[in-house]
Amino acid sequence: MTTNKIIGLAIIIGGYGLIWFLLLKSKNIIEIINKKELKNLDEIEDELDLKVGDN
Amino acid sequence: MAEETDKQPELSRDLTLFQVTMMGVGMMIGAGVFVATGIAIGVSGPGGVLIAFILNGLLAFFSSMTYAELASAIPKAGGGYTYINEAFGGIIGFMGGWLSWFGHAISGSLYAITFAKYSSLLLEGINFFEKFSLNQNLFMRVTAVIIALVFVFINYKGSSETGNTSVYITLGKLSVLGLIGVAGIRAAFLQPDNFSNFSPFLPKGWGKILVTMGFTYIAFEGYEVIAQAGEETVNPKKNIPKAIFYSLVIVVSIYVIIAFATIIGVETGEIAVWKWFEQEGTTGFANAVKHLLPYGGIMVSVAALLSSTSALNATTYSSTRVAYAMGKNGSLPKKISKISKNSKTPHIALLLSSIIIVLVAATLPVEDVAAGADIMFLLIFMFVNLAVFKIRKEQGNELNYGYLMPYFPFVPIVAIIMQFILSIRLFDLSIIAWVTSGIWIGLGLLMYFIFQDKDEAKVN
Repeated sequence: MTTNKIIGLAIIIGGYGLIWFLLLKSKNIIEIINKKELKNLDEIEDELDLKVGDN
Repeated sequence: MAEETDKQPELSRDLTLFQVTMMGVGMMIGAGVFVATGIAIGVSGPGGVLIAFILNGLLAFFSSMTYAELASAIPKAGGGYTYINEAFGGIIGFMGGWLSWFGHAISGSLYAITFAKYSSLLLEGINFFEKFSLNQNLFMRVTAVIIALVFVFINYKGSSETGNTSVYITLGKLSVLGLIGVAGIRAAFLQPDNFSNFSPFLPKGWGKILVTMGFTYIAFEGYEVIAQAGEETVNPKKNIPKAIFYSLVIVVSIYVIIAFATIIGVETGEIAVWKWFEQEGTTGFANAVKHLLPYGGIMVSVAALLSSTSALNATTYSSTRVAYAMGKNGSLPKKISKISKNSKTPHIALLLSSIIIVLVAATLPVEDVAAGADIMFLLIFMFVNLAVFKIRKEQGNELNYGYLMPYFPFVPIVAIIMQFILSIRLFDLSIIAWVTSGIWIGLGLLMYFIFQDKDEAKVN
């Protein structure tokens, strides 16, 4: 198997896996926000621990 | 006047999660996939096409997270335009809508012509034009106009009818694509030697992957159509973000399986697979499917007809909603946002959008204009990704979010950089597209200053 093929397959499998990971994470966020009736930015960021640095 | 506006009927809120998801899928799996898959294999090789589809899927997912966040907090018609206008207002807001309106409308023209082309190809097979001494080109133009008008009528009837039509058509083409995918997986098990079709994996190197990403990116942008449906969807805070993500994952999976099936199933003799697709050009996909399935060619034509109609349906819907939102916000005359009492659809916005769709379908060389629409969408997505920063900062604690993206601000920053690179790469593919985009932007600026002057005159 060539190096290109190995890197390519890693990108395909890793990329597809990342898409599914983001889907499941996002679905989870939607469910929590709607279940707990969270509303504004601070409330949701604190509850879901989404804050990055001081953003 | 204010009273009149208050008494206006509202858009009906009856689109379900399933309907909205199918609208997004319908928009993304336009007929382009049947043409572009073969070309993409020829451009970047069997490995390159799979990598390009996955990377585009990932990039689209990043942008879709921005759209999902904004659509859940601001569930209004208008999609990207609404968010750009909400964040920046003024001339940037106006231009966001102006480009989005034309981008969607002209995509609709492209799908109407694609439908006409495939109809013409099917009829050509039975010598229809020779038998009846008909001009094929004229037939195509007339067919494009008729199919565009049919979907204008369906869109006028109401959003639920639009959603149902989209569901039926999309399920039809998904069935055909599913069959192709199953046949490809079957071929992989029964003829394991065909895995040699993936060699050479990247015959033209890594650079060609960006080019392939550039001209196939438009096939991943269903989130813009879904975001348009915010005012007409049941429980939009929950359903719009979900529909955006579900439709994208469905589409990425289908594209990858279809590309895999096409490559594994094709028999090219001594010629390398990528070379064969390069020689076959636009017919490569259909001819490859003939090796996988009996009547594969006819099935692909039927699927392409279904795909172009569902994409036409979705773009007619979305262009109308952008014009409606622009009228409602005062970026264009208020009359445009009027809603029909009978059908509860924005009939004037639909009329104006249909004029653009029909005029372009009947007259212009649509391919280059459609590439211009590609560029416009990329520009709009860049601005939407910028808008999310401003909206979070200025309105974050006033808005009622149904979804908040994780990994902020990394996600929109990556999306902005990549969309900028892809839009520049499109310059290599079509200079006319950039010129056309320049003309539209110029026309938009002119319109903005005309309306702004009128507004100021009214105030004075």
